Amino acid sequence: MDVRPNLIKPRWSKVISDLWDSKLRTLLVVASIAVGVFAIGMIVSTYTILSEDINLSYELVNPVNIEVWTDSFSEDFLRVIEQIPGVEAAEGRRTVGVRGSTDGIVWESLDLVAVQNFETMQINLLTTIDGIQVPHRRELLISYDFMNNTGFEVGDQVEIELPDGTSYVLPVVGIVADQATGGGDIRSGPYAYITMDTLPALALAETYNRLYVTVSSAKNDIAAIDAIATAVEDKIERHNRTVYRMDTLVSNIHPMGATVLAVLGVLGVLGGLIMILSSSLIVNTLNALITQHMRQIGVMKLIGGRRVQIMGMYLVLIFTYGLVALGMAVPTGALAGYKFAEFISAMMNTSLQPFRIVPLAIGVQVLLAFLIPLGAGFFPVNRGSKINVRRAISNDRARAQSTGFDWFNRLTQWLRWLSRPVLLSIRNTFRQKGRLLLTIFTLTVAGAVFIAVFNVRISMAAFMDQLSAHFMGDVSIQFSQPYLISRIDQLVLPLPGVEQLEAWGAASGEIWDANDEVVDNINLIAPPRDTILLDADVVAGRWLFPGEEKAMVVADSIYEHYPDLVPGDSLIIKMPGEREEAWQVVGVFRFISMMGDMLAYADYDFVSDLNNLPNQAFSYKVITEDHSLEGQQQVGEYLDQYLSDRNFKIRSVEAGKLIREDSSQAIDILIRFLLIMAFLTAFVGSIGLTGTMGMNVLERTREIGVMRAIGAVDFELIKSIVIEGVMIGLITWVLAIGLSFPISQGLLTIISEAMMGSSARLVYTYDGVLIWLGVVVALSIVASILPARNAARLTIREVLAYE
Amino acid sequence: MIETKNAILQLRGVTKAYATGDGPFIALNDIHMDIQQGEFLGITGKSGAGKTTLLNMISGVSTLSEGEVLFQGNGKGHSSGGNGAPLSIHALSEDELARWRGHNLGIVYQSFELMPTLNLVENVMLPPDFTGNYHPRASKARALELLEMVEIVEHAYKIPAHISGGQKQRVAIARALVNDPPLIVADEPTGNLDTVTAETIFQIFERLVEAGKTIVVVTHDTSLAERFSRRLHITDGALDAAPVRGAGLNGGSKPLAVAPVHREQEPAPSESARPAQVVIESGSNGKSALKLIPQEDIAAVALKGIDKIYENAAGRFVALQAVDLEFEYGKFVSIVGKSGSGKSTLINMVTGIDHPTRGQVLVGGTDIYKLSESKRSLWRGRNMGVVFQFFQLLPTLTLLENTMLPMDYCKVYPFAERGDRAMELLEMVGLADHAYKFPGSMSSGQQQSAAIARALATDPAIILADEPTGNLDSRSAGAILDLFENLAEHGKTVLIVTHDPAITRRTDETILLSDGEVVERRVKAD
Repeated sequence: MDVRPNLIKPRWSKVISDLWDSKLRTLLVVASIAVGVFAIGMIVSTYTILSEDINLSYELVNPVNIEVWTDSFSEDFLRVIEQIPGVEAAEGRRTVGVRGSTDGIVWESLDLVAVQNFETMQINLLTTIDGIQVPHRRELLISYDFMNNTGFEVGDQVEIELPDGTSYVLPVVGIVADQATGGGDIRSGPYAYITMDTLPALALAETYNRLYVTVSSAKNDIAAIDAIATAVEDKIERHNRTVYRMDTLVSNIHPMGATVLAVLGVLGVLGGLIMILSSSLIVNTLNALITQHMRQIGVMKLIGGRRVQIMGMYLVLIFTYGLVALGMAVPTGALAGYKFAEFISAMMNTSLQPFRIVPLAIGVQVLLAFLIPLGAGFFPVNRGSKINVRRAISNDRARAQSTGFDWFNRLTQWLRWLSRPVLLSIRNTFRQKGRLLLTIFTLTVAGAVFIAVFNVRISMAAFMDQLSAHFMGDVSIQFSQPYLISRIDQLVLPLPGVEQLEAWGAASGEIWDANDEVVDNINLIAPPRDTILLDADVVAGRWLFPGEEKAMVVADSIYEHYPDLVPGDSLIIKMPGEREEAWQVVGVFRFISMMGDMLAYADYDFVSDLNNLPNQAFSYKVITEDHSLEGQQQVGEYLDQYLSDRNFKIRSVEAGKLIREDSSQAIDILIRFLLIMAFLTAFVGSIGLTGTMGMNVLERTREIGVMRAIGAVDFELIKSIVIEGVMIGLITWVLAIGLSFPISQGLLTIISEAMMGSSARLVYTYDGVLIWLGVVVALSIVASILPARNAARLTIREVLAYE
Repeated sequence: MIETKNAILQLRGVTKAYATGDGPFIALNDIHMDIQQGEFLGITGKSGAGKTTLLNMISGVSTLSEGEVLFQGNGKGHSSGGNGAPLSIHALSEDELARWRGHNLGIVYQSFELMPTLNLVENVMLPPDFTGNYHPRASKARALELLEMVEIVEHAYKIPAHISGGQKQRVAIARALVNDPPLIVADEPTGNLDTVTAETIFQIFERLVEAGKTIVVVTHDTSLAERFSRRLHITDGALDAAPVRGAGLNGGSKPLAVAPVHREQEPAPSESARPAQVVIESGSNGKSALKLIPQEDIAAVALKGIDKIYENAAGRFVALQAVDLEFEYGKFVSIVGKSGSGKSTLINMVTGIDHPTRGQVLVGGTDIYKLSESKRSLWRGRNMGVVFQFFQLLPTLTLLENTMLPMDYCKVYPFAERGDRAMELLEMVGLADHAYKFPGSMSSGQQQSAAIARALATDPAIILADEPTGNLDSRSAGAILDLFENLAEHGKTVLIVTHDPAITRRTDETILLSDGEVVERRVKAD
């Protein structure tokens, strides 16, 4: 007889057919592995692509190394700067704070930037998104990024209102991305670009007030750049100009890069968590698989199968699960990773290189896809392969299986008021201890992460609210010139909707060290002594006394420079054009280090005297009767019109809530991603619970038949199983509440430190707890109702025949 | 007398004891026996007598408490203990035993034990794969040759689910033979098969013995005795003193007996058997509609023209054919027949566990198949008590709670009274002292007694029991039968399925089934 050879050994045929025949189980295990491997692959891809591309993208626009705000200078002065050793190139810009509108009603604050020659500019290059790259005289380019979208489009006629109140209409001819200007300051932008020869048309001097310098070497060495910056500053001052502000930046690191990557690190940790959770599902499913296959294992041993051969078969089965999961997770993880990177990159105004597979991500995925399931599956497989043949093939095996915690069963005997079906559900819940613990672990962690995300969200919102209090009232009015407080009070306070008005002073300077080196820029804000808008979180020392001179309450970011600073110490402050003077730090308040320059509060009277503007202010904060966004906007628009009609020079009028919303955009996006990760963990948890309930029901199929035989109707059967599922869900809910405290605190600390440079205080909200209660109960019902319905559908003959 | 000449396997003082809640249970007691090369040895005995335990000792599947099992093989695998000395198989490690079995022992089980996801050829090729003899072409050729020998080669590429039970058993035999072992053991190999298929299987065994194989078959069916060349009978873990020599191969093969068909005889009406003590319960919530109300003019159970035909990928199998039966209240009825004769199917028809293909089942006048599965469950819970061979107590409930469970499901008796009633029932079956124990800590007999208490929980008029003594030793079985007798005397209708003819002596009526038909109905004379 001519027989075609059977090339696949029968035991491997069994492995293949086990995979194929139990599609649901295969799907469950593969999905468990794939979710974690996908999440990790996505995060590693995003992290790698962003860490490579955003810095490269930033470097390609030849970012400024030294930016100086100074008095007007001409092209000739640039040549002087270029002579400084180490300077590669110097360019000038004129920047004017203006506002723009297409309809005369809604105004956008803009930094109008004049550039000498768009074709030959070398520093902070622009990337065209739409329209043309080189505007002509009296034409505008508008910057666009995710955080600063003016809504202006190519072809729009934008009315530009200058600080003196005059306005000009200019057409938008291009939309550009500007990665470098204002880099690192989340409050910077948006920008409107014009040519220098447009300035005369706007009645502005055709001179520069910003100096951009790049260094010729050591572009990535901040110490070397600082040294050259000092030389530049000296040169400027020697030319009788005042340096109002100076920033130094390296070329190869995007100013926001570290923050983004730190946040991605947080998501990566969650991805790792998902992987750990999914591995517990794998343990459960493989445990059930081995239990179901116990008889087959016994038979294989009976017909000559040795332990190592049987272990090999099941480990290959697990390996194959990993392989299939890998096949699913690698392309989807790579694609999602790139898309995610693209999304973040768009937020940062950077551009990515073309799509690519990240070998590191694949390497990590391959390792995880095989090591985690094999590690998780080894113990059940080892246990299964070691089983005694008689036990494996015995009909008593199913009956001999664990009945749960004996002490628990005995304890619950005294719950006489419970009906036996309910008692049965309660005891069945605790029957498979190992499986229950793993399911509880998975769902508890998922729940804790879910609740924690809500806590992080509310804590960050509270943090932002607290920070916002430093900058806004219901409506903030910024004038282009100072006005007498009494005059503004007289005009504004009687207006409808206005409840109260505060005038805030401000001054900026530099903190110097003992060697006359600039330590940092500092913004001094001077609220009225009876302000109701500021509730600073003083963490050390005290608040200002009325009329206190040369005293300040400084932001806690001061500790970056003076870690040992205590209230009572003095700092050397140099105001532009003034001598340096010692100011006493009387208190320290909690703040974030990423909001640009160092912030400090000082007495209003003292600061206004310092500015030679007694009883005057540029900045006014209005408290409205209606604190809603609509109420704020309504009053704001009215005030804008009212004050403009009376020839006040308005720089901006902004609703507080709008500023607050804008400033929390990045956090909202992060929260959304955290929620996605939380739902992924919940998904993994629900797979776990579904699998557990499915396995519980499957293993008790015979008992369900018996319940049927002694009178249990469909409802009783379904109720019995659903109670069991809901009990597991509720246990995990209680545990998740406890676990959510440390997870919330950890997540919040990492995120607030990464995003704000400061750790926020945890605010616990019951929103997450209640929503998770709903989710977990719904999940438990869904997870148990499917197996319950299937069990109820089985005829008794089928279940009693089941072995 | 122990024969040692040409012995392939020797059992010396083999004892097996299991720990139970009642102390050690001796499953095998000091067994001494030899299995001769080329013999067809039958080991018979009732369920629970220790047959399977003995087979497990022979195959090294179960550990010994005392004694040893010595194998004198032909040089394959671990054939001997060295220097021609016999190999003590229980001294081998688990892996060494697996290798030894793979080479020297073919095993056939009642439940076939094929790998469900492999086709028949692959199932047969599996042992050589494990023992290292696998060759892609030669192993397949060998598998096909064996499948041809057992006359199933035309289904070689089907999976086990697509062939019948008899066909599966042939595949199991082919698999047992694939490594050409000298010894084949079979545990109730025809237990799940109809008589014609069982005959085919026995013919295969006989051909193998003629070809020089040694075959040991364990069976409870004493009617097979004559087919063996030698038969040993085991009772309560001990071999009967004198081995019984069967007519077997040397005496000429005699086909399996098929009982003559007798048409159903009308049972003598018995007024005294009316269920005087069957109590009609209104239920705690007043739902009495589903409660069976015994009426004198209506039979407790009536089966009218019942056919049950199973059809699947393996083909069509007639499990019951034209069954017409009526049982009165207060009768103790046994339903007997060989394995595969349709006994369990018949009782499943009465309990509503399975659906008839044709015909009508009336219990107390109610056509139970007009009820939905769910409603039928409730109806069954209130009107029938079901006792299973393997007790089927729920392991996470105490005996008391198990007994209360049907009352909860069926909502009979006020909630507060259910505990007292359950305790009374447990007292009746002698388990009051164990009421708060879990089933796992009870002996088999005690579990079955508790199962009977549970079956009585809702005070059903009818009790159905499927091989209730099948898993018990003779003493426990006797106690259980006493309980059933007592129930029948108190007006319950008890239908009991058994393959033990001895039980029929204690019942009012006996229904004999063969191949799905009622072939005899005997009524005990008063």
